[in-house]
Amino acid sequence: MKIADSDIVDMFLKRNEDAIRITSERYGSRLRSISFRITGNIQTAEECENDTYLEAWKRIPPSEPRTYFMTFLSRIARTISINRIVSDHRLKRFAYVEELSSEMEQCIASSSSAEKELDAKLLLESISIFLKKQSKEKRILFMRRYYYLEKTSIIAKQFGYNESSLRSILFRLRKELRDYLEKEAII
Amino acid sequence: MNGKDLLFLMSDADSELIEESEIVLDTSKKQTTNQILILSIAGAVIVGLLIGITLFLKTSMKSKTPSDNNLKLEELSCIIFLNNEEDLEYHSADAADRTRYGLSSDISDVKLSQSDIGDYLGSVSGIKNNSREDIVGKKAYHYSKYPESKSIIIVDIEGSYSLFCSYGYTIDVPLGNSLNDAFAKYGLPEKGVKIEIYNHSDKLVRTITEKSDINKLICIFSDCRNIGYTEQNRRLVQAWHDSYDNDYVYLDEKTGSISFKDITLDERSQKGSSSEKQAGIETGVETGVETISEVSRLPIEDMANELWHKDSLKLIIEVEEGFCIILNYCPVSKTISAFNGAFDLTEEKTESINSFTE
Repeated sequence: MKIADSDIVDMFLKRNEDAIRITSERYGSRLRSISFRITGNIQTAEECENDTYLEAWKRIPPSEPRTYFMTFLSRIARTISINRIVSDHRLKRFAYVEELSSEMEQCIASSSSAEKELDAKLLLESISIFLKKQSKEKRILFMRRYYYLEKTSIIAKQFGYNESSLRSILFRLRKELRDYLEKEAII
Repeated sequence: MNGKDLLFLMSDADSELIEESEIVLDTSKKQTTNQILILSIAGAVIVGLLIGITLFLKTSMKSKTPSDNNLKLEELSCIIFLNNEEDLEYHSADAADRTRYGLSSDISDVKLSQSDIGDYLGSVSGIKNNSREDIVGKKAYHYSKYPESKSIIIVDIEGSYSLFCSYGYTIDVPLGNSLNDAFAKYGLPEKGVKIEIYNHSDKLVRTITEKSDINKLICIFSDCRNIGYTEQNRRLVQAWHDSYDNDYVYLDEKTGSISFKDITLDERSQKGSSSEKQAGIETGVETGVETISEVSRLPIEDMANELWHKDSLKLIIEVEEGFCIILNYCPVSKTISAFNGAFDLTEEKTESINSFTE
């Protein structure tokens, strides 16, 4: 019988170590895949996957992600994976993170943002509102690039774009996002 | 907060957005035979039902057309072609386009009237997105308020519409030919409105609106000949050799593409990384890391990309109809990439382009 996510979270809360095994069986490959897309290295991805379980073990409790367990795990895996790239320059993807950071910079770069202390929560909320006003496909393209850190060549292939068209779409999206954040006085 | 902070911050992005894009990842996995069989049967049932419902609606509701003030506009992200204009690409209108056409930036607020639809242009003949084949063959109408911009609306299935804007021509420039014909198709230089120049980090470094400057830049590019990507790649490989004095990067003569030798960091160290390190410093490669020893830690692909994109520029030429032409200027290979080719630049032209960013 399939165990519900909320039951797995209950096992974490009760400090039942089977929770990690079950989580690994159910979500291991997806977490590994998230990490692999970010780090580009299978061994590192496996290490990040294991670190994700440990981090989840530490965070539950107090967190109780009964209704968003996979998202909860994916966020942890993503953060751990990016941290690994940044802390270990030998990983192939270090320069790639620099490239993505530079793209993200365009979304928040404005004449006033240099002096302004940005409210992270407000910024994220505004980005969500902006993305939800976009078409589903554009939202997904943005998330695939800036949440899953996928290469444009891979996204382009899966969505049937040529790479330069996709880059133009992302470029325009970033520009629109910056305009929106400026208009809303977030940056 | 900088770009890297924001990249980290995205880990806490809205759950709905994460789940939505995760679902797409799942669906891209290979389907088993059983799943395909089940989907095929379900698809057949749905098609049957749709045919039944359509026949029922046709007979019972005769002519159901949307009322003038309540035309639903939907947003689709894909690139389409019309059957009578196959060389022109139409992209779905984004917020900037909607502002330009005087429509609300919020798609849910857009109200089109029947009269906006204008003339019937043709039907959608092709599509650059596998998931949107369902709109191929649908009627495409001119959006009459902006005939000069060639924006159109596409009739969708249940009386709802999607707005698309012409983005540019799909132009093939044969090897040896110049950019002149392609520019002429856009009405350049006469129709040039603006040229934006972005650096290799996509930061806007200059906007040119002076007609004389626009003409001068267009004139520089116009007679550049298409030497093809193989020749461009050959030059990039040569630039690698000149900088690093090794053959880790080479041209695959069969395909004309660039290949990288599969070589570990240890092997690179043994094979004399001193030239690699030294070259990294001498050429001023921006690697994101500063010390000599760390330069050689970067993968070859990244080192090569850093070298090749150094001082590269992206020029976006906007013309009167709102079309945009993107030119990628690569000083390392002395080429400009545009449309389907790589165009040769002389030393003199390279200097002239550089003078526009100084």
